[in-house]
Amino acid sequence: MELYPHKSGIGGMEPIALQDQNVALHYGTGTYYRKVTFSEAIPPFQAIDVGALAAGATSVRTAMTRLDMPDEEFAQFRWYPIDNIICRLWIPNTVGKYKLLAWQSYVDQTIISRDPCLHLTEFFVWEQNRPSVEAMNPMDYALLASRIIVMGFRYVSTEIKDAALLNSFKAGTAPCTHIWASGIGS
Amino acid sequence: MAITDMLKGVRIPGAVVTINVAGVGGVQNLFQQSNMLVAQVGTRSFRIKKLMIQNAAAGNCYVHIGTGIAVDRFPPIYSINGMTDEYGENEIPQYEFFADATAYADVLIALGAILISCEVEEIG
Repeated sequence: MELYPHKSGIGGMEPIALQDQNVALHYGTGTYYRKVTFSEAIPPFQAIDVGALAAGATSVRTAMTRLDMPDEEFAQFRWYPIDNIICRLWIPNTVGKYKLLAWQSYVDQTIISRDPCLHLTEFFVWEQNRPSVEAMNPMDYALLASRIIVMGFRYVSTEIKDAALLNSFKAGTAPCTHIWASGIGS
Repeated sequence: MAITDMLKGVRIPGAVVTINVAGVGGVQNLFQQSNMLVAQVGTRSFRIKKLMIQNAAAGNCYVHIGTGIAVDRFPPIYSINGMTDEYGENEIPQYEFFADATAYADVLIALGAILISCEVEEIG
């Protein structure tokens, strides 16, 4: 049985990478090969309050600046709203997440019963490439706040420069976890 | 796991508040919204989970629970002279307070008072 920090077994949230493991971090058209040198958990916190929303209104697309990471760091996050809002996510601001051809899925309060461990909300943030969110108020009365709770893991990493190792990653002959810190397309 | 939000949350009691002036002029703070370091911890709201009202010889009266001055958030509660009223979360609408919760009694007999306290669950 593997043992490592933050282990939670069935359910819950586990880190995407452990100490000294390699990741291929994709952001837009770029790929960054990184080695994890430090990781820690980020307990649940209120990442953003988009603010008051009129009945039936949609907020402007709002950057979640609290999720910015320092240089050479990335984060793995899961999230859920604690107000009755329907939220769509973009990373970066113009690229949607959870997208289908004619539909962009969303996260609302039902996520905590439909996906209690929030697996399907997971996203990644690379350095200061923060996500943005739009919150919609589906009700016939105004909301006074539109709050989102985020939790996850933080990773400090170094760039992998070894050419032979990089070629092995690209050939699929060396272990490397691929993660996407953005959406794709528009 | 987020499922813990579905379970009983952290419950916080308020102080026992005495209302001894009738009408909106006697409004008292029932529970103060947390405004600690909003930029650091975020906006905290709360829902009332329990209410206990002791009518200390105040005469029959309506007790109003709301925000600010005379902005009711529940229908007024009829309190009978000398009785103790207790309401649990199954009986109280789960209105979410984003401001201090206040209470006042519409009429009081001379030297009468309403004692009231609540228990809340904070959200934020």
